Formats: sequence, C-alpha cells, structure tokens
Amino acid sequence: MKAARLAREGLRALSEHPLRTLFMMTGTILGIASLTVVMAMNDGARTTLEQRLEMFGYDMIRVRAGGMQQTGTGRRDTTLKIPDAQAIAVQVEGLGLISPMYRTHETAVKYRNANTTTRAVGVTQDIFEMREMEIAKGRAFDALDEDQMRRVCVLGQTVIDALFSGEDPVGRNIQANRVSLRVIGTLVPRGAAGPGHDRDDLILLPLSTAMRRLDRVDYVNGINIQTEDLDRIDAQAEEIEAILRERHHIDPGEEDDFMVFTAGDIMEFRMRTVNQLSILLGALALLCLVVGGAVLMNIMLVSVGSRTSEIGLRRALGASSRDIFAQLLVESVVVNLLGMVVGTGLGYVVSWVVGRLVEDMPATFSWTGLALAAGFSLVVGVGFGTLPARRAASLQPVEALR
Amino acid sequence: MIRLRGIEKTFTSGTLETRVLQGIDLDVAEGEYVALMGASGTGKSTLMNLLGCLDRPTGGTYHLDDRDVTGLSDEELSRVRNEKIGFVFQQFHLLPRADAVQNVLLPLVYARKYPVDARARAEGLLGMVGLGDRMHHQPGQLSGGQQQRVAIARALIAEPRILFADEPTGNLDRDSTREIMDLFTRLHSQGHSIIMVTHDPATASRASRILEMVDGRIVSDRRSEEDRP
Repeated sequence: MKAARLAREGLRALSEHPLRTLFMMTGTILGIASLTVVMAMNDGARTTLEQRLEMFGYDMIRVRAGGMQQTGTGRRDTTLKIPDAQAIAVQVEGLGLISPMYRTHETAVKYRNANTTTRAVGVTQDIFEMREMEIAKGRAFDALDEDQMRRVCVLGQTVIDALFSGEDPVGRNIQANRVSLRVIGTLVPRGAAGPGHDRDDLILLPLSTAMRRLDRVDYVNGINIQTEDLDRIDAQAEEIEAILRERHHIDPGEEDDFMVFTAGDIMEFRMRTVNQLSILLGALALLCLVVGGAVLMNIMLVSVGSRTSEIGLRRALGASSRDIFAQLLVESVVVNLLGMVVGTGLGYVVSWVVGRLVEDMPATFSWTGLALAAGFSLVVGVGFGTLPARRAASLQPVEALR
Repeated sequence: MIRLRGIEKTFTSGTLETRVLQGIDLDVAEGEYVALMGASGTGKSTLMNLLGCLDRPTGGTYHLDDRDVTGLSDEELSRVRNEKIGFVFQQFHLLPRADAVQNVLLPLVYARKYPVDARARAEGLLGMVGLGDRMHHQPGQLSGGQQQRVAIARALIAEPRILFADEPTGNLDRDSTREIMDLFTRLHSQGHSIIMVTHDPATASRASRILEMVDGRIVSDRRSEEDRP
C-alpha cells in the first residue's frame, strides 16, 4: 500500500507540472511514433509482398529474356527462343506445363471508330491451364489456333471498356497493327497489381500469331514454367539457368542474357530492401528514443535541483532515500508509458495517412511494434530515470532543507 | 525520553576540521517544553538536526525512548522520524500546490500503516489549530501565521513523541508570533513534548526549560519558576 502512496506522489508531481511533463514525454512520443510507423510499414510491405507472390505463383519458375543490366532500358534481347523452352521441357525433370510468351511493344488496337493502345501478348493455350488467365466469355485458344496462326484474340476488360460500349465483343473483328483479329473470348478481370500496372489492359493471341503476323520475330520474351515438384524448385531453376547458358553459348564469368525467378527469389530480394529500409528507419527511431531519454533525464535532473527543499522536507517527514528513489522512478516510468501511448496513437495516425496518400505503402497494425514500443519506453524510463532518482535519493536531508 | 551522552559533531572540509558540538550531555523528560538558545554558529541547529534524526553524530550516544539511534540505517532513521518526531520549520516548508489537508497528510505517505481515519484526523487537527474554515486553501492563499499552523498540524498528524521547532516564528510578524507561541503553549499544556530553537529571549521565556549554547557546549540549563519542583 505504501507503494501505491509513493506512486500517487509521483503522479501528483507530474500532474502539478503539465508543461514539464509534456516536455519530458516529447522524445518518447516522437521516438515511439516513428518506431510505430516503421513497424507498420514493414508489416504492410510484407503483406503486399505476400499478395504479389500469391499472384506470381509459388509453383512458378519464370524466365525472362534479357540480363540484369537490361532491366528498364526498354531494349530487348532476342536470344530466348522457342527451342529453349522445348529443351527445358526435355532436360529438366519434374516440370509441368511450359508456356513461352511474346509481348509486343505498345500496339494500337481499333474497333470501328474506337481505338486505344495496349499490350498484345502471344501465349500458348497452356497459359489458361496454369490459372494465369481465366476466360469469362467465349473460349480460349486451342492447338489449331496456334498451329494455323489463326487471327483470333481474347480481350482484357480494360480494352473491352475502351473499344466496346456495352456491345458483346465476342465474334467481332478488331484491328491490331493493321492485322484483323476475331475476338473469341474475354478475360475475367484481375484488377491492378499496384499503381500503373493494370493487369486487364491487354489482348491475348496465339503465340504464333503474335510472333509471325504482328511483329515478325523469332524470339520470345519469357517462358512461364510450372513445377510439379515444389521441393526441387530451386534446383530446377538452377538447371534451367545452366541449360540456357549452354544453349546461348555464354562463357563462364559472363553474365546471363536472361533471368530466372521463383517466388522465393523475389521474396528474398524484396525483403532485403524492405528490411534494410526498416533497419535504417528503426535505428533512427531508436536514436530518437535515446535522445528523448537524455532530454527526459536532463529535465528530471533540473527538476530534482529545483525540488531540493521539497525532497528535504519529505525526508524530514520520514521518507527514506529508497522512498524518494521509488517516487522519482515512478515519474519517469509513467512519463514514458504515457509517451508510449500517445506516440503509438500518433504513429498509427501517421501510418494511416501515409497509407492513404501513397498507394504502394500500405501500413498495418503491428503487435510486434506495440510490444517493442512498450518494451523500449520501459527501458528508457527506468534507464534514464535512474540517475535523477538516485541523485534525489542521495540528497542529505539536512543540506536539502537548508 | 531523550538521553545524550558525550555527543560530538565534527565537520570536515578538506583538511579543515570544525568541531561544532563538543561533548553534549542532555536529558529531556516527556512533557517538557525546552527552548534551545544561543547566537548563530553556536551549534544549536546542528544539535537540533541530530536530535531530529536528520543527521548522525560523529561521537557519543543518543537514546530516544530508550533506543540507541546513533547507529541506525537510513531506512530505520527515516522510520524514527516518521513515527516519533514532528518537525516545524522556520520557512514552513509546505507543498505549494497541495491544499491544507493534503499538506497535513504528507507524513502519512511514508508511514508503514496508513490510518483509516487519516483524513478525519487531519481535519480535526486543522480545526484544533484554528483553520477549520481553510481546509482546502493552498499555502499561497494563507497568511504566514496560518501556513505555520498548517505545518504544526502536519507535525502532529503521525502522533509523534516529540515536536521539534526550528525558529518557528522567525518569519512571522508580532501578531502571528503570539498566535503561534500560544499554540505551542497550548500543545505543551496538553502534554506534548517540545524542543524549540530560538534566539529570541521573549520567545524562549514561554518554555519550561531554557538551554543556552556557546561554542558547541550547553553552558546554562534553567527551569522557569512555575516548572520548578
């Protein structure tokens, strides 16, 4: 019960000096708020990444033409070819469907007076079986469409919206790069995968049609491979890399002119970036907490100085030096816990606002963040409260009363 | 109740040693009202601090209620102060933002047991010192004399064995001084033991026993007429 009375004295000191209490809390508030934002962003990034990987497919190995340096340059490597896909199918064990694809540059498409630009993507019929694409209406391609390079296509929702005003597109003819294509089906909308990446803004056509009739090329720019042996997916990816290096006559030491990814690779790569950022921001937040603790310690030291005679009085009335220590420590711990509560609240408000403003930076509530915040503020409270409390406790009553 | 034998106090600063108390023997019985007089620098405040268990002697023994308090730990000394001693200071030393009742209750914060009737007791004491209508005033709203009366109520809240007052009227005007001195006389007549430091002979004359100190020694010990057996 005495502990409760001491605690009440500590709280009274805080409530009697609201401004001082606020200043004591400031560092903790800011530190905890930034820590909360970091944790929320980290968790948010993880969630988004998991959604992306779900889209990517945990059983998929994807080969893309062009090496690392070429990423984002717009230049295209022409070395990845259909026989590469065939070689992979023959040489690597435990693979399921293999579907090469060819993506045109911006393609102008037209229906009567309406026109738009979109990506025309040549795919094999297997792509539909891989659950990559789903037909909403009409039908998908079949082997005959592919073999005969038929002028047929399947439309994504964005293209339908741009070309057809309420009219049923199936059975109509559209123009793509002056090639007339008959619409045989429509795709189930898949929505956007992040900003600027509308996954419904495309038309699909048989691979042969896209390569020969639209663009007259002999290379593809990707191969989508489904594994049937998830445990071996990394080994299979390595085998694929080896096969392609050999087929493309790449000498040891030279860089690949293609890239092979699995969901695991992406996870590793993206999380590394996210974690680096989190560590950096987290370190800043911790620094903030430590600075806040130092400020708190300073304010408390000053306040011990200005309360010397009060402390002396309390000693004379029967407070032991341990009582004084406890009372002061309660002050710093309570200030920090209060700061933590306010800081966490502020942190979530900021995360929420950021999440609203920046689409790519979703923030989610993080229990880890909360636990961390509580832990740190307790440590800071005790750690930085000890020195002032000890100084107050060591005041000699006679001298303090003078 | 109080028994001092050969009490010495030496302050050391650097190589300089100052013997402030040079062997003090003193007995104070229960119910006495003692005035401790002397010019400044004679060691009366130091003696007061030792008697009040705020400080430890460098030599000699001090028995309070038949218990040797010379070698007690900080914790134990604090408890002695809390339970057996009531202090009244020259500067009142009230908490500025707490009201009269809260100020009176302050010593009980550090008591081992918080009495159930603490609040009623505090209000009763404030009534007794004549502040029944000022219970919830803060020190700033009270006159000096009234503040000192709050402090006296505070000194009594834990029902101490003895009251120590260090120049209790040093900061008060004549009227307030008279009020406070009347109050001490009343407390004495109710059986309270009081030791008061003062340099004012008029104030000291109200005590039943007057001690005079010179150079760290008690040089005179007189009892007033009516108190003489």
